Amino acid sequence: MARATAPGKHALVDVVDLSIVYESRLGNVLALDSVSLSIEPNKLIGIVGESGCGKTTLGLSVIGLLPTPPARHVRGDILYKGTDLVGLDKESMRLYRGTEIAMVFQEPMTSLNPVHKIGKQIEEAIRVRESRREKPSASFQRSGVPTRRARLEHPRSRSDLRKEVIDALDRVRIPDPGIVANRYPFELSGGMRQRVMIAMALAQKPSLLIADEPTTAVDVTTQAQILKLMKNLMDEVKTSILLITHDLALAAQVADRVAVMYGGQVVEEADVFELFSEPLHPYTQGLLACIPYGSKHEAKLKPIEGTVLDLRSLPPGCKFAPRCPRAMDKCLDKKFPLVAVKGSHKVACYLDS
Amino acid sequence: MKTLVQLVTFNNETKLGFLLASVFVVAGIVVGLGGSRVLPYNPIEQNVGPPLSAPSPAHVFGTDLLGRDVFSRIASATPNDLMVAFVVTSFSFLMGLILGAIAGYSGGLLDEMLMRSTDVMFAIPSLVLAMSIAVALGAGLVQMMYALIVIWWPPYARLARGETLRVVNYSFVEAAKASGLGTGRILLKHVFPNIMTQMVAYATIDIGSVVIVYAGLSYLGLSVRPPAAEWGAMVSAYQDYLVSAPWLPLFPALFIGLLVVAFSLLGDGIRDAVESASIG
Amino acid sequence: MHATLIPEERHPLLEVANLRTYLPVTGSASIPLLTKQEYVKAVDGVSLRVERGETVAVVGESGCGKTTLARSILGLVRGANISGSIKIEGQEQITKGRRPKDRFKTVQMVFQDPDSSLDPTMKINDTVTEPLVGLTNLSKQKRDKKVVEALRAVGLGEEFSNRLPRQLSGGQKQRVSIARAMVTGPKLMVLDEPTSALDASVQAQILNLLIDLQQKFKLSYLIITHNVAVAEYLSDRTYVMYAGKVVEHGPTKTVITRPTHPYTITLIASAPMPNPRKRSILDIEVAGEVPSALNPPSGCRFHPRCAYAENKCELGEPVLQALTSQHYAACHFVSKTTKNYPLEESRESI
Repeated sequence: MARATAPGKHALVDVVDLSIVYESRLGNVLALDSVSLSIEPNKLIGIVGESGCGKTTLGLSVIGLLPTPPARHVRGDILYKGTDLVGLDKESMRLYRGTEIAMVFQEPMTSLNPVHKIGKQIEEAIRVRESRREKPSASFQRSGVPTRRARLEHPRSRSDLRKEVIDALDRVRIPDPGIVANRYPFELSGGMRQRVMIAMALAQKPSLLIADEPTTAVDVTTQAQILKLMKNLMDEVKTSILLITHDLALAAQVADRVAVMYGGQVVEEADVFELFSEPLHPYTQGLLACIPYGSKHEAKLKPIEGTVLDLRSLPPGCKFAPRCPRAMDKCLDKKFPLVAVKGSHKVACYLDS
Repeated sequence: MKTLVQLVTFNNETKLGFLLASVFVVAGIVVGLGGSRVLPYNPIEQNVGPPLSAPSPAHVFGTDLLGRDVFSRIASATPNDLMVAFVVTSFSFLMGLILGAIAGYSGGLLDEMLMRSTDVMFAIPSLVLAMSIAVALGAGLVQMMYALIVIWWPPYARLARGETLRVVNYSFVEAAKASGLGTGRILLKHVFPNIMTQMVAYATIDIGSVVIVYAGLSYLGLSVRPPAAEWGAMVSAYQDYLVSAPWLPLFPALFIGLLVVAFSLLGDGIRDAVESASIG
Repeated sequence: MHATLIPEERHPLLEVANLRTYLPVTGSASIPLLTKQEYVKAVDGVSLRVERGETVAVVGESGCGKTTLARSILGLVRGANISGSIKIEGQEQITKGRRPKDRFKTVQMVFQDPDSSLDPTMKINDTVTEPLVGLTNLSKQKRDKKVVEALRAVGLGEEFSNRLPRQLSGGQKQRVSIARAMVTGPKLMVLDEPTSALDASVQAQILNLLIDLQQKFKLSYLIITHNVAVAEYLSDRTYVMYAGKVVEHGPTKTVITRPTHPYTITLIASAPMPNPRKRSILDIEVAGEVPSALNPPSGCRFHPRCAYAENKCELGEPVLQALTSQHYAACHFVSKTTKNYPLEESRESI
């Protein structure tokens, strides 16, 4: 059901109390546990966590690509420009995907069709955008139902389309875009392919770009290029970016806000400068202390005790309590919800309430 | 041992296949060892009952043109088909495993040689080749087995080579080299165990194919000489009686089919079990 | 002759001089004997040294040849055209014919991917025993004892002995790999991206384990990594590789805080630091991609991407010049690049 946004709220995306369960023969896993999060327009929010924390599930939920079996929505909403995406049928959700929300994945080789040339694939993305002249959010507000316009009223000329493809490649700083457009994905390097993915995503002029570990598979200098590109494009196209990564340092370099996840929950969320100058949650502190910096002679790393959480056998109470150096008895009984303790700095921990 | 049990009881089809296959194997062993003593009638003795009589309590599958008991004949032929199936499959498996693994592991000239020879083998129509060999060697069970082994090993070699190439890329093979192990030991301890599951899964399905091909060749008369019984030969000899005395061609054909189904079910199940184990 | 007069302790543990490893390109379309064999110049003239007790890092991105370098040192490269010199404790290793097995008693390797470095069909026990079987003549009893000790040294108790790799986590598997490499008591361990496949918290555990093991067992390490932070944390000296060559080397602190070669500058700046106030990633501008190893650019291999490049960079390959007695860089314009150390401040204080 559509829920109107509270007056005065400007968030582009509002995830409210979202819980998702994965069901399998071996048991149920609570992949997302009451996750609440806001994404502001034209801002980059970094979701940081180790494997299994639910960050990819969160990304896929927002864009509606979660495979619904085995995943099951238990509770909560995802409000996009005021519209709840959770209740939407597949067809309507698809309209959003082509035009408002785009996603870039980790492995560009599997996201690009190996038998089509690059240019053709970008053309396709543009056509998808064109075929829905009106953004679903606009039509929704008008009539309560997202509509799909009839086919192209003014078919683009081939040369127009071609020019836009070249522009798209140019915008992601691909050298010789004319030549690259005629190539197949296997002829390009990993970094180039990832840029093509970004070009395709942006060709749809989305308001939200979800990037799931977009640079994990590329070299560190290429990573720097791609991230810089993403930041520049944010300025040009005024899109928001939801960046999913396991690398906290990466988030420090590009994010405006950072949300740290553990065991399917957001344990801390804050403005990037605040998070790094004053991390409040013991997990965030532990994660920071894990990042190698300086030489071993100066300061030895302090790894987080214990092993990664097994989502199938969750402890009652706070999920991090078994590994937390400052756990108290009450942590094992009940968990503390995510609340703002200082301005917009939110933490889910008793220690700071 | 536990995994073997898991493999054969993976799902209902597998259990059925295993059951059927076991029945055949046991029967084959019993008959093979016991000979005509364990059978109700001597399979080559003529006129133990009225010729061409339909199935009855005395002769469960009826009698044939010469008054021989069809059931005894079918039962006596069981060891043949089973033996051919197992022998051909195992020898092809072994040959293919060794040649393919060595070729895949060494690369270079050895690999080229193997690939070209299998290419040649694939280019020649295999049945024709098998028939030619069988004819050249003369009819007979053993000759048949030779002929079949010759055409049967190339796919195993290719599979073994492909799997070996995959395994060789894993760094545990390099680690084994850095542990001072020689090629032979690496092949035995690391390559073979890791390619075995795929090879065995293929082999168990393949057994059924051997049965079909063998039945076909014996239908052409290339196998045992009369008066010994053989399923395929029986189908051939009695195909004209399909309408007048259907039990004659149909029962042998049925048993051919059952044996193939048994091994196919078992093989499918094992392959599925192996796949789900490697995913899970 | 000269070598034998120098007592063993004076030799560096590992000394690589002008190593060239050219890998033959195998093409299914090429007709053997008729087409000229092409080579990928994976390692093209690399010299490095590891002294006893040192930790040396080789840093570079994919395609720079660092993995091939590691494999060449171990003698695990098949069919390659290798020239130059690799000396382990003064003994030359590149000799015609079979590679000496003795090398493995002194040098061992921990491989990159924990998932593929353990045989999935072998129990942990057997995996760790293997080097003892292949390289020593110890009795079964003694072998078992050593295996238990090695596992314990990496923090794995008895209960792990009979398990299979798929029952272990990534971090545990990596520990097994380390145990296997250590069980014969080598002096030098080559670690190829030891933590790249691991989560942050597990990475920290493994890094600390490596430090502890080094102290306890007097090990020397050669660490191959693309992660500048890991190199900085663990190593005493660092070599930076690009397109098959060493472009800069020196004490780790120096290379990282005073990078001189333009590529090193780019690499260090690209490494994300956990400090939002020092966004070096967004400051640098790096163009282009890693060059093809089949046809590297002429002259200096970095010149097509280099902000300081001039004509002579395309014409002549720069050699490693001494900036200080220990810090070397291969660039025609070291004076230019040393003028701005934008990173000096940012990396020294966080």
